This record gives sequence, C-alpha cells and structure tokens, in this order.
Amino acid sequence: MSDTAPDALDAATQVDMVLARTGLPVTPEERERLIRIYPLIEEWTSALRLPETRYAEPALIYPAAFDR
Amino acid sequence: MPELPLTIAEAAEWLRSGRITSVGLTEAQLARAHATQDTLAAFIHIMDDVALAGARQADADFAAGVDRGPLQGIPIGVKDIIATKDAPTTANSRVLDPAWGDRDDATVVKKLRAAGAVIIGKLGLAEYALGWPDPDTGFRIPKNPWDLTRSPSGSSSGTGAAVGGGVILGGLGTCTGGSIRGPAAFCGISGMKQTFGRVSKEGCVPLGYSLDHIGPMARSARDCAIMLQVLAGYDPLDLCSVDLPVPDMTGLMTGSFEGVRIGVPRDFFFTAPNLDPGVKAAVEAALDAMVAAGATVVDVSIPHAEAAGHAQRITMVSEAYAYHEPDLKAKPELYGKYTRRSFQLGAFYTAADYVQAQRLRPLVRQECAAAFGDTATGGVDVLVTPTMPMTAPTFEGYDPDGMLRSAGFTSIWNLTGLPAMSIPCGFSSGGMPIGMQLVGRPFDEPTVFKIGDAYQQITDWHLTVPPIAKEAQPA
Repeated sequence: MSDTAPDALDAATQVDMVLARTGLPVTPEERERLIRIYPLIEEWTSALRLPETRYAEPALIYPAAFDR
Repeated sequence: MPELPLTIAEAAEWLRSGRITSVGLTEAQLARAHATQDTLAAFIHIMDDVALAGARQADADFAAGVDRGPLQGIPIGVKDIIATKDAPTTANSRVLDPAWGDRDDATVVKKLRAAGAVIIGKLGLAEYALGWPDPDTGFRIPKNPWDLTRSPSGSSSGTGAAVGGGVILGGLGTCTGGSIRGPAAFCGISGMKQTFGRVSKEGCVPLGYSLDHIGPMARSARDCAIMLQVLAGYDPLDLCSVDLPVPDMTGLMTGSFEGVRIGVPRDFFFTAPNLDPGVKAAVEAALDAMVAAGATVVDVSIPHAEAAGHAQRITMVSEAYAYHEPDLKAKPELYGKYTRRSFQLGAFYTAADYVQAQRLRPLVRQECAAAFGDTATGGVDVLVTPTMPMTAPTFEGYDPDGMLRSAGFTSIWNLTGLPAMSIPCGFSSGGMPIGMQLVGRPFDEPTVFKIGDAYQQITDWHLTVPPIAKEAQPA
C-alpha cells in the first residue's frame, strides 16, 4: 500500500470516471456542467464530515419484522 | 357574479346554512379552472364529471342529514404525482409509465373522498417534484397568480397557483425539501408540511423516500388544519407511517398569544447572504406583531443548520437517483432537461456520502431539541424563520444552477421531520408575497396551527387575493 495519497484528479477526470463507471449517458453540455459544479459537490460532501458525527449512528432503521 | 367563499371554513358554513350548494361551488370553481388554464395553467387534468358527481353526492348527503365533516362538498385539487382511480397520474413527465396510474386512489385521496371532499382535478408540478420547468416537455407551466411572469415556486406549483389564484380553496402538495412551503410563500397562501410519518405517502410517486411528505395547502392555517385532520393517521401501506393518535388539529386555537414562546434561530436563517432584506424585514415585523399581541421571543441556535441543507440535498438526490437510474439510462431524452440535470448529480455521491448524511440527522435533531428546550423550564413552542430567502423570481433569465450556492430555510425540516408551516406575512416593495415559517416539536401540529391562526387573527395577509382571482370569477 502506498503511504501517500495519489494527487487529486482534476474535475474533468473525476466526472469522466464517474460517468464511465455508472454508464450514465450525458450530453456534451451536461458533461461541461458537471465539470463546472463538481467542486461544489465535493464541498457539500466534505461539509458532512463533521467531528461531532465521527462515532454517530446513522438514522437508518430496518425493523426485523415480517409485517413491515 | 356569484359571491364565493374565500376559505374552506367559510365554505363549510355556507354549505350548512344553505347559502351555497356543493354543485354551485364546484361549478364555479370548474369554470375558474378552465378560464385560467391559459394564464395560471394550474391543472394538468380537470375532472369535470367526477367533480360534479361528487358534488351532487355531497348535496344529497346534506339533504339526508349526513355530515362527514368540514370538507364535505368542498372541491379539492390533487397534485398530479398522487394516484387517483378516475384520472391519470403523470408526475408531469413523459417518463412515468402510464400503467403506474392504473390503480386505486392513494390513501390520502381515499381519506378525502371518505370525508366528502370533491376531487376537482390533478394539479401541475415540477417534473417528478424536482427541477425547473422545461417548456420542451409539452406540459403546461403553472404561473404565479401575483405576476404571471414569475415562478409560483415548486414543486407544488399548480397547487400554489390554483389556491393563490382563487381557483380552488384547498389542494394537496408534496414536499421533500420545501415543495409545499415554497409555493405557499411565493403565492401568498398557507401550507403545512406536518411531521414525517403523520400522513401516509402511499400512492405517491417517490422523490426522496426518507424525506417525502404529502400535505395541505390552503388560504389559512385553519383550513390547513381542517385538511390535515382528514389526511392524518396511521397507514400500514406506508413503511414510514407512524402509529400515533391523531390530535384535534384546531383544538388549541384560541386566537391568543398569551403565554406563547417563540424561538428565533438568528444565525443562518436571518444572516444568510442571499436573504432579501425585504423578506427579513417582513418576518421581523411579524415577530414584533406577535410580541405586541402577547408572545415572548427568545433567540435560539441550531449550529449545523447549513450542513443540514447539504445532508438533505445529498439524501434527496441519492434516493431519487436510485429510483430514476434505469430511466436516466434508457430514455434520458424524455426527461425535461432541468430535471435530468438534477437527477444526474445522484451518480456523484458515494454510499459513504449518503450514510454520512444520515449520521448528521441525529446531530441536527439533538440541536433542534436543545433549541426548543423543555417547555416546563422556559422552552419555546415554535421556531420562526423566513420561509424563502427571496420573493418569486421571473421565469426569464433565471438560472437554476445559481440556486445551488444559495441557502435554503425549508429543507432542514424535511431532514429532521419536524412539522413546518408557511403563512403569509407581507409583501415586497414589488408587490410579491412573503412567507414566514413556523416550526413545531415532533407531532405537535396543533401548536403550530394555534400560533399560525392567532397571527392570522391579527393580520389579513392571507385574505389578500391577487387581481387574477377576481378576473377569474365566472360571469
């Protein structure tokens, strides 16, 4: 295992990787838009990594019952 | 020109006093609906025959001494993302398989009919309850009744336009991040998103499974309470439904602010950079009016309110993407371009992002509990915030992506599930309505209604109607 993280990929590469992995068809204009707002997506997801939630349980409930 | 009632409560009195019949009221509202389809464009499907049959039944019941409650004989519109057995359901999309709608009524529609309500039609919306309208889809685009060049907000755009424009007295909206309260604020009406689980969402096309609500939109808080009384209740067909007794939704209404304690989360909700000064001033004036009437205002804090908005967005789009992924791949061209763009973002969130958003929910819930405090030791009854940071924008020149960086004040209450209602509290200098949001403790809708109704006893913003509501009167 490498002891260093790979260099951050640019937004266009990140977007193309996600589109290739998911097989989601987009128009050229939509790809450009996704590249444009990709930093915003990273900003939103980073904002959720709060120290206060480090050991928090998620709000996910699965009742083990046959009727629910 | 026949005089028509302005509220459900008023119409209920008129029906019982013989001043109007359900058939007369329904005929007048159908005429308004048709007359405004080229302007307000509120409906996708107007159900003339079904509505008139329902109205005749309501009148026959009155004549026979059968009274099913205050909705009997009242025409009600249904957002066209909720199933009705006698009309198609489109979700305002060319993508939804028409066969989806070949089914019985949604639970909420069954409840409305059982209460004697007259289902008058299916109301327009943002496609699949998300995104900005795309004229290329061929669906009508509902307009703001105060200015037809402006948005009524979304996603319950048709319900907001129809109630605000005086076409109907009440309607159903749905809400995943603000889709009841936004149109209520922009169209100058009242709209309640009750506690998550209080009303069944069975029979509604999903957007975000853990955030979706179906709720009432009407002119007054009292009308919303009347509707919620009928809509609420446990439903085993909805996994999220909560098995709790339904309280008397109007039972706490006294018209008084004596002893009422209001929490005001100033940080974020009153300091966001995109908050219009006119909106802020109107909500501050409403707080002053409530204090003058006997309420006490206390500053409170919800430290992670902004992050809650991010968590709601990631949850909503991830859940929506799971539902829409097959259609986004198989027939993307059938979506409106703005809806497709909104859903595409779901491909970019990881499973860890989604779970992290769910880990934020208990944290924000704890912060809300702290903000409300203990009522026995000086806690507050409701929180008050602006509903929307601005008034209705024009369609022309609007950039939906511009909103991605803007703070919103409604979605946190979908994330936490707390009841939240928007009521009118003034107008901008340009004459557009402004909404104030009242947020309650879990399952304490009666207190929210009590305070909303008390405010509407000392103001008449909710009874101020736009000119189009008068123009739409049948000759």
